[in-house]
Amino acid sequence: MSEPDDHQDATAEAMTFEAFRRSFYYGDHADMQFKYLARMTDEDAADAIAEMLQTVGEVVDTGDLDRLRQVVTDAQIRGYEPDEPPVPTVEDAPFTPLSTSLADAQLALLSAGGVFVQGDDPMGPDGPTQGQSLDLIQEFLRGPAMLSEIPSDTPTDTLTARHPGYDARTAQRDPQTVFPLGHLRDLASEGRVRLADTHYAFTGATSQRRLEKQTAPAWAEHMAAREVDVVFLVAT
Amino acid sequence: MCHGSVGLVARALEAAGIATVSVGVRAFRHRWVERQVPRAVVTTQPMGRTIGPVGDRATQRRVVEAGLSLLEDATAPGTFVDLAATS
Repeated sequence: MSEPDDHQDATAEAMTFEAFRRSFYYGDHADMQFKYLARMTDEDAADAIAEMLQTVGEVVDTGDLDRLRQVVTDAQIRGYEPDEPPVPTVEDAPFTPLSTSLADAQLALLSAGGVFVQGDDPMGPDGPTQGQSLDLIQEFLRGPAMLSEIPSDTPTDTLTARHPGYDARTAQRDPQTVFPLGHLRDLASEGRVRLADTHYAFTGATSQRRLEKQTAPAWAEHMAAREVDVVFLVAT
Repeated sequence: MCHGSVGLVARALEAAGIATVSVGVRAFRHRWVERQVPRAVVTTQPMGRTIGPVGDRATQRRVVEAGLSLLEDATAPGTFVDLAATS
């Protein structure tokens, strides 16, 4: 067995650990599932990576994917933990009580997961792939959010997703991870809810100011005009 | 970012007379406390798998049902339901 030193190239510049963990945030190792490593301290990031690798080793033997999922999730929670307990940054809290029974209310699904029907890309037929979208993150963050309309009878296996802020390959494998239209259809057939004819998705990585001041109020007006009573929102 | 965006959209919908429930993941729960999201279901899933793991129809269904129940049960804004790990 060779030791690591056997492979060290004395002429190559060593990559620092800080550069390595930062490279997960839209860098050489861009990975939306682990980009939080860039915001951790070196020590916390090292601990998180070591724990995940150790768990990978265990799971190779045990097959306990739930254990691996838990370790990955916990590391992500630590990675995004705010320094101080969160407090409201807005003064008002608009609230509309449900005015009728859920079975009589018209419900629309609205996901921020960048979901759209295959062949109906909101960015056009030559829209970027998931991988290409990561290079466009700044354009997304400056641009307006576009609303995809998804008919209620759309087969879920004809949906796809693209999003420069999370790894939408998960949603490409199973759109219901972020757009549970099939489950809502099941519940509608059981009489639990009544679905609107149209559901919606957009890419949550977008200009926050424009969304707050222009886009979201316009969407609300559009849905109210279509007599939508209830919206089921999904963040990613 | 996404959770912040959903918070903004939820607030706009409620202001227009549309009731909302928002489902998100634990890592970004603080964003919704900051934005005073009207009704929130928070799942213990990694980012990008908000409703549940790929192909796990039972977990996904439970999360959707939790959202519908919260729509009926919440009587005041800022009502959060934190779901335990479900798979």
